[in-house]
Parts: sequence; structure tokens; C-alpha cells
Amino acid sequence: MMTNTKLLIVLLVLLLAALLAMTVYSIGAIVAIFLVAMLFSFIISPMVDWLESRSMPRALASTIMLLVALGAFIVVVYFLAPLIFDQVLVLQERVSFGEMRKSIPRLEKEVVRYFSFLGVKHLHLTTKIEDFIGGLFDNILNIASSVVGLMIFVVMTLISTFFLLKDGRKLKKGMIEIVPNQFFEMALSILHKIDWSLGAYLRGILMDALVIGLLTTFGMWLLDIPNFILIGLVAMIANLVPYLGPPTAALVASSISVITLGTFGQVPIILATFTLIRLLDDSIVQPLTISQSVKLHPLTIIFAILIGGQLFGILGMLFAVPVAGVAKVVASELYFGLKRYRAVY
Amino acid sequence: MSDQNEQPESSFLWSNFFQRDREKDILTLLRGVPIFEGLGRGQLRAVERILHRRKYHAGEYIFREGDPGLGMYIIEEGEVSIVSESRSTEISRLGKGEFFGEMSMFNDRPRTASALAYEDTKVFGFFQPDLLGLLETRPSIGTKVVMMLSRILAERLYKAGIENARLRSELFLKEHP
Repeated sequence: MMTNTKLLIVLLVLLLAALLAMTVYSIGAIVAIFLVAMLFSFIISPMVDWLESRSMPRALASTIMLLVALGAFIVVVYFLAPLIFDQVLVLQERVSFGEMRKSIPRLEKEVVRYFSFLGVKHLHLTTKIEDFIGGLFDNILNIASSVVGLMIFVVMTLISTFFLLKDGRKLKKGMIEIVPNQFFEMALSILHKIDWSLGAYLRGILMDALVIGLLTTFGMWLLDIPNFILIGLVAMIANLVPYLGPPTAALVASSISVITLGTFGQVPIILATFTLIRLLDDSIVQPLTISQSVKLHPLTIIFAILIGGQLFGILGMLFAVPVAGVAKVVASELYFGLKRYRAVY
Repeated sequence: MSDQNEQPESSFLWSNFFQRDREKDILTLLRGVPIFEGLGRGQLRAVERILHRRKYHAGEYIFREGDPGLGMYIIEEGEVSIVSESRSTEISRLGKGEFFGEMSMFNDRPRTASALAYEDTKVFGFFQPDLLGLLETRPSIGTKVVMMLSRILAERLYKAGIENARLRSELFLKEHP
């Protein structure tokens, strides 16, 4: 049976979570800057620590690592953005003017024939695919047009990351300083454990996504699937959403193959490749990168995605699971910390 | 912190002067602690940056017997009583510059005794996560501190071993007169 203290803590956590969600929702942009800066500082801090261990002042180490990260980002964007842009353009062109014009109606006929029992006569596939690809293209243009907003976001995030890297320890020390004596050691222990687990979790999911993205790109390139970089990128981002992400990426890859080649011929091998990558991920990559203790229950994942979607749309859905993972790390470290210090039984 | 309150109303220059004085006092105190023996001024400053300064009122517990051990404390001002709550006895009383709880720097076992502020006391807390951080970011300092801590613990173990042998021989002589 749940004791009064436990119930009180659960209620308190729920209240805090609700308050946090409301705050995040109302000042989303500022919170986003802080969260992204925190994420970056978690990823970069081990390298800053390493430079500091080589007798480099922390401020200089933070600056250097931030510049290296920024440089890497610019290089990736410089080389990758035009490629992705081109691939989307090529995709759009093929759908609108190329051989796809001829193959899509053929494909539509085949689909209607296969599923004749459903009584569907016209699918208007060409119009729907054109609309979708056009929308994708428009979205890219929209992102490019809001470049000023993006620049402000990037600059503010960089500044925040720098200060979190340089003064992160001072901030933590400052936070601990205001804790009453009675809870001081407990707070310190919990904060340290959250810090450690969170860093490991965030670095883990990003590393996992990166490996999956690279494996997918390589696999699609081997299979000679057009737009393999785009598919790899989709797989990398989709990997942030367990269960739903990988099938979505497989679906995107299959759709691109069907649209561009006009046949289902490549679909089985694409699905087989994605299954193989999934098996590799489950058996080798994930055990090496993500702690098993942070695994989320499927029901938690579904609810997190629904809440994320409701609050922040597609982006919310994408980041819902990592955020739920972070919440789980914080909550479990908090719970075990309180238990160790006999604050809960 | 509290020291600033103890200063008379003063200009920025004076408060800055007192601040420097306080820093000097802290460094002198740390230099006297065996764990930090052999550290240079800059290294002591780096150590001071990771210490947690806490103030306890007379009668307030710093930690309780049975709590998970997280680290050690160095007394800056005041007196601390180390008591065994299970046996209701005072094990020792420590003063300025002395330290306690150092076993917890190396394991997470529960505290074997409680530490109680005997009078209003200021301490510096030095904790396992901070030592690990020091070993990562400033290995030369971290290694020296770990060496000194190990030396102190080894010395205690040696003394405990001798005491154990003496008690065993006394017991043997009692049982076989």
C-alpha cells in the first residue's frame, strides 16, 4: 500500500511536472534555448574536462571546444545542406516532370487492382505526392526565410552553452549552497547522480542516432537507392522516437524508392536492410550507448508522444521521448536518493 | 556569506581587502590539513573552489549515523562532536583545522557515527564526486590528494592492526593464564 509520504511525493512531482509543462509552454523559445544549451554542454563537457586536465584554463577550453563544435556544424551544414536540398529538388522534379509522371498512374492501377475488394477506384496519387513533396520544399524555403530568427537562436544558444560549460560547476555549487543543512548531502548526492546519468543518457541517444543514421545512409548507398543521404538523415532523426521512428524511416525509404523507380521491386530489400539495422541497433549499438535503466515502457512512450504532439506539434512528438527519458532519469535518481537518505521508505 | 555580515560597514575597497584576508585565512587553514600537504598556492586555490562551505548552529547534526557516506568535512571554525548514537557515547571532539568522515571518500558505506556541531561551527565539505571531478580535470592535484588520503587511511589501518594484535594477546593471556 502507498504510504502518505509516498503519495505526497507523487502528488508533488505531478504538480511540479504540470507547472514545468505550463512554464515551458508559455515561454517555449527561452526554455528551448536553455534546454538546447544544456544538451550541448552535456555533450561537449567531457572534452572540455579533458582539455582542462591538460592544464588549460576552463574558459579557454570551453571557447575552443565551442568553436570546434560550431566549425563542425558549419562544415556539416555547408556540405550536407546543398546535398539534401538537391535531393529534395530532384525528388520533386522526378515526381512532377520525369518518368514518374508515367509510372505513378501505372502504380496506382496496380494498387487499385490489388485492393479492389476495398472498392477504391481512384487514388489521385500523383496530385497527393506532388502536394507532399511541394510541402516539403516549401518547408525548407520557410526555414531558410526565417534565417534571422534562427541566427538569434543559434547565437543565444552558443552564449548560454559557453557559460554553462565554463561556470556549470559554480552554478551547481550555487544551487547546493541554498539547500538547508538537513538535506545538503542528500541534495549534493542526487544532483551529482542526475548530472552523471543525464549526461550519459543524452550522449547515448545522440550517439545511437548518429550510428543508425550512418548505417542507414551506407545501406541505402549500397542498395543504390536514390536520395540515400536524405533517408539516412530521416532515419537518424526518427531514431529519437522508439518503436515509431524506425518503421517511419523504412516507410520513407520505401516510398522514395517506389516513387523514383516506379516499382515495388526494391521494397523487400529496403525493409530487410532496415530490419538488419534494427537488429544491429538492438543487439550491439544500444547496449553500448544507452543505459538499460533508462528504457521506457511502451505505454510511457505513447503518452509522451501524444503529449509532445499536443503541446508542440511534430517537433514536440520528436523530442517527447528523449524528454521523457530525461524525466525518468531525474525522477529515478531523485527517488533512489531520497530512499538512500531514508526520506522515503 | 556570513563573514561579510561580520564586517563593519565598509567601502568596496575595504570589503575587497577583507575578502582577500579571508581567502588567505582559508588557504592557511587548508595548508595545515594533512590531506592537502604539499599542494602549492594555486593548487590549494583550485581545491578551495570545489569545497562546500557550510555553517551549522550548536546542536545541529552535520550528518547522522547510518546516512550514506558522501565525503569528509574540515573544520574552519568551532568544535564538532563525533558521537555514536547506537552506544550513546562521544567518540571524540574535533576543533579548527581537523577533519572527519574521510572514510566516505572511498566507499558508500553508511556513516558509522554522527557528527554534531558542539558550538556554532563553520566547515568545508569535500565530497567524493568533487574528488572524482578533480581527478578528471586536475589529475596532478587529485592524485596528490588521493595519495595523502590513502597514506592517512593506511596509517590508521596500521595502528588499528597493532591495537587489534595487542587486544588479542591480552585476551589470550586472560584465557590462558
